[in-house]
Amino acid sequence: MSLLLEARDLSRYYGQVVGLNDLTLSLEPGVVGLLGPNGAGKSTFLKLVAGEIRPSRGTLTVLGHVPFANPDYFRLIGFAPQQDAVYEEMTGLEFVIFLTRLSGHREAAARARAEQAIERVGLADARHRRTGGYSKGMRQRIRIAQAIAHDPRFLIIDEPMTGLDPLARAEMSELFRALAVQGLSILISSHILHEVEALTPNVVLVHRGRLLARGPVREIRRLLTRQPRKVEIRARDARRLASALLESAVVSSVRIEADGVRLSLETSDLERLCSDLPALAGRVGAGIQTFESRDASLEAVFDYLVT
Amino acid sequence: MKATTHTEVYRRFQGRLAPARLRCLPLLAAGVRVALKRKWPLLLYLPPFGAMLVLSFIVYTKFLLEEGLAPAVLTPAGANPGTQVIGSLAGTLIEVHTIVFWSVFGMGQFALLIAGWYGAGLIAEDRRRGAHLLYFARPLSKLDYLLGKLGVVACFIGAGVLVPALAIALTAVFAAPGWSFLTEHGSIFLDILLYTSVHTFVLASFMLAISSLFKRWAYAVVTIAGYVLLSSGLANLLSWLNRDQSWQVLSPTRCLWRLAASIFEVEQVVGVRLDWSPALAWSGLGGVVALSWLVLWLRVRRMESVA
Repeated sequence: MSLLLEARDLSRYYGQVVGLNDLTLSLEPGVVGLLGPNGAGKSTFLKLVAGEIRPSRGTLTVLGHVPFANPDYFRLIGFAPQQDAVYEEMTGLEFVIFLTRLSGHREAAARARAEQAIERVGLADARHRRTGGYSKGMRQRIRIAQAIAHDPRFLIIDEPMTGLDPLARAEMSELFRALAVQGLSILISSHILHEVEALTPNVVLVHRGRLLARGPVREIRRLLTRQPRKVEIRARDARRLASALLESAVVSSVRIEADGVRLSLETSDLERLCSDLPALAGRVGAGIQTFESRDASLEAVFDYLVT
Repeated sequence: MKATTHTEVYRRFQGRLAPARLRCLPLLAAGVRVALKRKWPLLLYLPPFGAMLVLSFIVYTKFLLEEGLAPAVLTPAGANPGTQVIGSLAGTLIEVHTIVFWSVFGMGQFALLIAGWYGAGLIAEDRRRGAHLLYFARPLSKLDYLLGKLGVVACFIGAGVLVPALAIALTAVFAAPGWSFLTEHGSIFLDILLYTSVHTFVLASFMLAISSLFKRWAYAVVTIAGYVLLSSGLANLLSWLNRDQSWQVLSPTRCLWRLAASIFEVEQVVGVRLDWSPALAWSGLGGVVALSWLVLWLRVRRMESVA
């Protein structure tokens, strides 16, 4: 499978400030979450990928093209920046038509595509309203509409969830899923980790301009062997299970929660615990009801990586 | 990294793209459309267009008087003092060239206001909103961007300077008996086009350059007003101190006056003799344009890294 993106020693400096530092990375097509705290270098990376800025050092190839100032490449991508880049005097439809025309479509085709894209993002009823009167969620949607209207192969979206209410976030996630199902590759940056986690297991974690980790979240977590795994178990007889677990070599600590039915434990080898647990629970008659790995979430992984 | 949210990867591009020529036109059209959404700034055109009507009427009356066909209302025995003034002006005046000069001279002052209103925010507001990120992720070169923006401000300046001058000249053409004005003074149309083109290009370039230096419309307006006032004041002061009108070259507006005087063959305006070298005025305006485009080019290049 051809690579979506390949970066080698990619760096971008803003004078004395390092935006991105020696990033070497390759991504296959699909949905990829670009994650990191504010100031981590996400937007810099996205602007490099969108061809907006030139790398200070290193190389970047996306869809087989060098992105910077490359009109052939710009036809293949849709970019929705984080900035509130809408003309407030225009209606939503005018805004999308205008930008679709800049992509090279003629007036009639641009109008048809803009109508389609706006319908796609669920703004059909508001398309004749001035964007100045749009809510934050509607502005996000219209930015997505302009990015997909010209039928790109690769969508680059910077912080699309910021400022949205939970319902709007869910709708936005649903839209991205639908676009992905149609074969669009999406690079989506966010600092709202659980939203991205719900969208794709594939993430790139950056921090202070450097690549921290990349790959499926669970794979990344598995590689963090120095951090004990946290597990929560709900059992009919939590106390007996706790005493049995303390005998296990892979369990380093056990705590019974205040409700008396939940156990929180730390293990150095989750796989072995999983294989040993059924026999252990059966021996003491503990009656396990739920088993949950508490720190396999993206948030926990990210915390482990940056602290 | 495995993509898991979709099965088909690259979607074939199905759009039909126009060749990448005149990509600045959608930008120009959208800019004009957006500017026209607010109606009350069009009041800026009221004085120039009012003056155009009065001056056209004077020209019309001049030819009537020359033919001895003046209506009674314009004669001293007429009842209306206003029309008596127009009648006496038309009777005592003057060549159409001079009236056209008055027009472009007067409209030039309003053109500054028009340029300030319609041009000051063109790049500044794009930078503030981050709209350039949307433009430059499309097959739009930086030159296209600048030409599109220049076109917007040039349309508005041109409408304020060219239309009144043309209307006056056309009035002369139709009022003169037997197309005599056209056959004897037809070159005035070329003079008008030459002067308004230079005026519009210089002012539009200068306005855009100032706009590119700021992120707020108001700062750009204040800067251009300050520059015009200071440069005119300095030019006057140095001319007075050195007893040499050549110092007027320091003021772009005085250079435009000198150019207009040279093209329309007028020797002085508002008591100021315009007998310094037109070549110097051309050089001064050339310098302003060169400096403006240098600033524009540097600033627009920098827009890549300033979000």
